[in-house]
Amino acid sequence: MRPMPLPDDGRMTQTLCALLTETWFAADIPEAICERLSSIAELKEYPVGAAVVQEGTACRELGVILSGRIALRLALPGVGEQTILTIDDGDLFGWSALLPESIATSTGVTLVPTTALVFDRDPLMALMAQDCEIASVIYPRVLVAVTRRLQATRTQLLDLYRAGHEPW
Amino acid sequence: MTAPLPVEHEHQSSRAAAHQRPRIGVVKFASCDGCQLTLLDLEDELLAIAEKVDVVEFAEATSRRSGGPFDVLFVEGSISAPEQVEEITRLRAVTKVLVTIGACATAGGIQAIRNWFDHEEIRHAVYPEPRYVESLAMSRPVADFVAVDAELRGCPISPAQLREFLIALVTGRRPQLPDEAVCLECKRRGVVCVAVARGIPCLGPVTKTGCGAICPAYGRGCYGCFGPRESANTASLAAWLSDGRNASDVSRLFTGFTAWSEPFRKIIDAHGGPPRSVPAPTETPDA
Amino acid sequence: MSATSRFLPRADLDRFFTALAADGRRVIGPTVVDGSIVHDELSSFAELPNGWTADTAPGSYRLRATGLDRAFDYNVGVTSWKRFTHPPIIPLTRGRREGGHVVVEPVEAESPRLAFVGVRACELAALRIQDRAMRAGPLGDADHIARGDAALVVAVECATAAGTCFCTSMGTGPEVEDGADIVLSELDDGFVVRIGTDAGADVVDRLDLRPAAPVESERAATQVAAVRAAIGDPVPTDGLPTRLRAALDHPRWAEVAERCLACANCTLVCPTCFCTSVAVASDLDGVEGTTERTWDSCFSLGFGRVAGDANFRPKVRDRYRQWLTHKFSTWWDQFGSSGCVGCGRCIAWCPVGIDVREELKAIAPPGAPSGPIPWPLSPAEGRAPAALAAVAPASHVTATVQGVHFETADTASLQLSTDDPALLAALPGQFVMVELPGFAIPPISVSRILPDGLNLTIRSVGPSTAVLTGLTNGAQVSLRGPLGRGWPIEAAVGRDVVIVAGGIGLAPLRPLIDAIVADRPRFGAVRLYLGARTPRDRLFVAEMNALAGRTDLEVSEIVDRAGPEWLGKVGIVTQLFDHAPWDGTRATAFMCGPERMMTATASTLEHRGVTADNTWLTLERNMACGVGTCGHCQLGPFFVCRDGPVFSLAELGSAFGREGL
Repeated sequence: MRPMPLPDDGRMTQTLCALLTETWFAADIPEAICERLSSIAELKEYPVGAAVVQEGTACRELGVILSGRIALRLALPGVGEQTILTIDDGDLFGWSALLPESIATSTGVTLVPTTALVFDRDPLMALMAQDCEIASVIYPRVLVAVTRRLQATRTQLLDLYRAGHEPW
Repeated sequence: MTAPLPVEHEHQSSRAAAHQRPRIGVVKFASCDGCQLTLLDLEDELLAIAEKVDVVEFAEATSRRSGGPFDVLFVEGSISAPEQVEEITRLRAVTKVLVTIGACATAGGIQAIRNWFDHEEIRHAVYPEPRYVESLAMSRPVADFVAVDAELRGCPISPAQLREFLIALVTGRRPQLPDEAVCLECKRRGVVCVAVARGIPCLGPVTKTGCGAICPAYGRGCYGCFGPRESANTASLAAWLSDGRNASDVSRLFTGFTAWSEPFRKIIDAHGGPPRSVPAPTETPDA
Repeated sequence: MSATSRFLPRADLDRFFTALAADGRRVIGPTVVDGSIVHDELSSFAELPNGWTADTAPGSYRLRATGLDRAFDYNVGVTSWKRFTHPPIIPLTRGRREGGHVVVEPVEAESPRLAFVGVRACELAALRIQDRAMRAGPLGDADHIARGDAALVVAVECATAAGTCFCTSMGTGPEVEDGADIVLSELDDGFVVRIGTDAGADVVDRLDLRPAAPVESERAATQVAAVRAAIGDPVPTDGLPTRLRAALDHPRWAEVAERCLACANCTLVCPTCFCTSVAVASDLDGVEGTTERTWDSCFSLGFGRVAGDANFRPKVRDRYRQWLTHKFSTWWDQFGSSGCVGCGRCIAWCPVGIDVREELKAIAPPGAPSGPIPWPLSPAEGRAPAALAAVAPASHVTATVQGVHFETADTASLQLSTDDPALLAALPGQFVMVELPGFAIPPISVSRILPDGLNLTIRSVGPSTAVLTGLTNGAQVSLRGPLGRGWPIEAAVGRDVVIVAGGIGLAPLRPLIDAIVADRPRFGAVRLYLGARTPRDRLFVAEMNALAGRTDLEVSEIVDRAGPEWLGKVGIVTQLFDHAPWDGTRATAFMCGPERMMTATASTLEHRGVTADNTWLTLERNMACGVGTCGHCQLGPFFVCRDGPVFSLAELGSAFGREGL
C-alpha cells in the first residue's frame, strides 16, 4: 500500500476524477461533485494478497476500486475461510468506516494487483456534513454495496438450509 | 433424515446377489407385539425377503441374537421404563437406519394415556408391589429419545406398507408412504363417508392414510390409529364434532392409540384432558 | 334429438333393463349402499333406490324414505360417473429391468361395455367437461377416451332439488338437453322417454313403446321447471372467472383455511376433478416394475413437492385457493368452460361443511374486480385441445447409455443413443420423462441433441436420480417424449442475446447455446452469464471455457462462494450484468436456475431495459404425466409441462414468483 504523493496544484484531483468517471461508480455524478470528492482522495495501489480491510478491526478508509478485484471473506463454520463476495471496478469497500463503530464486517483481500481511490474517514465525514451533494452521491452507493453484501450473506444462509441428498 | 441406505443401487441383479445382504434387526419395547407379527404375516413373501436380507435379531421369529450393528433396525414399542432409554440409545449408536413401527413407537401408544395421570397412582393401581417395577413418568415415542430415520404408522402397521418399505429398501427406491388423509382411501375404494352419511364421528380427515380405510369400510369411524397426518386441522374437526357433544365426549374421540401425538394431545388438553367416565351407549361408534 | 317422445310404463322397467343389458352391456346405476345412493353394477332395476330421497346440507347427506313408488327422486350421491370413466386406480405400464436391459410398455386400455343409467344433467355436463380435459394428451386418457366412448348414457331429468344443488347458476341443468343417448323423465306411472342418438334409438326401438301423450310431456316439463324454480340462482357467475383471479390476496382464503381439513374429499367427490398420481411397484429383485395411475388431489401436501424437498403450495390456504380458482376461473383458460357443474357434492361431503357458494360470494362478490387482474382470461374455447401441440402417442422408447460424464460430484451427463425419430427431433428446451422400472419417474431436460441421441444432465438428489447417475455404459433407460414447448430461438434472431444460467439451470439452456453458436451470424451480440454454487459445482467447464475463448461471444461467470484459490468473481449472478453497459431494449433474454435466482434476474433484466415479452425462462414443477392430464404442474392457468416449461415473463404475468400459487 503505497500512497502516491499528492501535488497541491489540482492536477492530481483532475486525474483522480478522470479515473473515477471511467468506472460505473461515477455514472450520474456531475463533474463538479466528482472533482470535490477527488480532492480529498488518495490513489492507492495494492499488490496481490493485500488485506485491504480486516474483519473485526477498525476500518478507517472507504475505497472505490478503479481496477482490480477484492475478495471479501468470512470464516464459515465447518468450512473455513470462504470468499462470499468479490468486488470489482467501480465497487465500494470499507463502508463500515461510515458507521459509528467503524468495525469491518469482513476481511477483504486483493486477488490481483488493485488500484483504488481511497478516502480517509474523518475528512470524508467532515466533507459530507458540510456538503450535502457529496453525501447524496456517497450514501446511495454505500447502500448498493451493503445490499450486495446482504444478498451474498443471504445466499450463504439459504445454502446452509438447503436439503442435501435425501435417502428417500 | 440423513442416514444413507445400506444397499448398493445395482442395476445388474446378479451383482447384487454377490453383495452383502443388509443386516436387519427387529426389537421391541412397551408394546403388544402386533407390529412385529405383521412382518411374519407376510407369509408368502417371507422366504423371498429372507433371501435378500440377513435377519440377525428378531426375538419373535428366531433365537438368533445380535447386539448390532444393524443396517436397518425395526423398533416396536414405546419407551416406558428407564432401562428402555438406555437400550434405545445403545441401539441407535449401532444402527444405520432406524425405523419405528406402530403407534407405540411412533406416538407412545395407547399406554400413553397414562401420561395425563399421576404416575404413582397408576403404578399402585396396576401393580400389587410397585416397588419391584421401574417405570418412567410417561410412555413416550422413540423419537423423543433418539433420531428416527423412518416411520411405519399404524396399530398394527399395514402389511402393504411394510411390503412396500421392504421392497423399497432392497431395490433402492423411495418408499411410497403418502402423507395424506384416510379420506382419499375411502373415496378411491368407494366407501361411503360414515361421518357425512351417518353422523358417525370419524378422525379420517386428520389421520395419516395407509390402512386401506378398514374401519369406515365396516361402518366405523376412524379412530386415528395411524396418527395425525401433515396439516392435520384437528381444531376445525373438533369444533365440528362439538355439535351435540360435551367436552369430555370430544376428548374421548381423540384419546386413542395415538392420543399423545401433538395435534391430538392439544385437542384433548383443550377439552379438559382424557375423559374420566364411561360413555353413554349412543356414543359407541358402531354402525 | 328425435322429436317423438315415447312413454315407458313403470311396470315395463324390467324390459328396459333387459334391452340395455343385451349385447353384453353391464348396467351401472344408482342403488343404496351404506347410507348413500351410489353408482354400482345392477343386476336388475329392482335395485334402484325406489322410494328414497336424500336430504343434503353442508357436511350432511341423509337418506330418507318417501313412501312413494318412484325410483329417481334424488339428485347426486357420493360417487360420480368418473368412477367409471376415470377410475380410481388403473394399471399404466409394465416394465422389466434385467442385466441393464430395460423395456417399458403401456397397458392396453380397457373399454368395458357399460350402460350408465340415471345420469343427471349436471353429470352429463361433468362427463363432457372432464372428457375435454382428458383428451389433451396421450398418457392415461387413451383409457379415459376408450371408457367414455364405450358407455351408453341414459340420463334422468331431475324431479327434485337438493339443498346443495346449483346447476342453474352453472348453466348445466336441471333440464337435460343433449349429450345423452336416452333421456328419462319420471312421472308417477312411468317415464317419458326421449331419444338422443342412434345408439339410444337402437335400445328404445326394441321396447316398442307408444308415443308419450302431450299431457305426459307437459308434466315432465313442468316437473323440471319446478326444480329450476326451487334452486333459484344461488351463485352469481357473470364475470366470476375474472373477479376470482383478481382476488388472489383476499383475506377470506386464510379464513376458510382455518376450517378446511385439506382432506381432499371435495376433489374426490367432484365429477370433473381429474388430478392423478403415478404409483410405482416392483418385485423384490427390482426386475419387474409396474406403474398405476391413482386419484390424487391438489389438497395433499405431496402434490406440490419438487426435488430437494421444496414445495410450491405448503399452506392449506394455497391449496384451497388453487382448487377454487382452478375450478371457477383458470379452467376457462385451459378448457373453455367452468370446471364446476353445480352438483353440490363438495358441499355435502365436506366433513366440516364448507360451502363453495358462500366462499365464492365472500371472495368474489358481484361487482368490479377487487384487485389487479394477474392474467387476462384466455379466448373462449380455451387452450385445449386445439392449442395443444400434437403429442406423439405414448411410446416408451428404450435408449442406451453410451457414456457417463460426471460434471460435478453429484451431477452426471448421460449420453444416450436412440434411433427414435421423435426423440431425435427434440427441440432445445424440451424434456423427457425418464423411467427405470421400480423407480419414480422424473422429468429431465434434454441437455444436448445429437444426430444419434440425446444427453441428459442429471443431478442426484434422491433415489431415482441417484440410480440414474449411477448407470454405466450399456445400461438402458426408458424415455417418453420429447415433451413441452422449447426455447423460441426464432424470437432472438437479429437481436442481442442474453443467457443467464444458475447451477443445473445451464443444462436446459445448453441446447439453446448449441443452436445459437451453430448459427452465430443470425444473432446480434451474445452474452452468457453463468452462476454456480462453488467453483466445483460449475457445469460443462471445458465447453464454457472454450466459448469464453471465442471473440464473438462474451462469457462471464460467478459463484456463490469459493475458497482462497478462486480468483474469479463471487456473488450472485445478477452482479455480472447489473451495471453492464449494454442496451437491454435490443436484447432477448433466456434464463434458468432456482426460482429465487430467476426472480432476481428478471428484476435486474427489467431494470436494464429487457422487456417482459423478450424474457424467457423455464420452470420446474412436480410432474407425473408430463402431458397435462395429471394436474400436478399447474401454475395459475398454465400446465407447465404442456404450455411450458418455457414461458415468457409477459405470458406468466404475476403467476411467476408468486408465493403459494
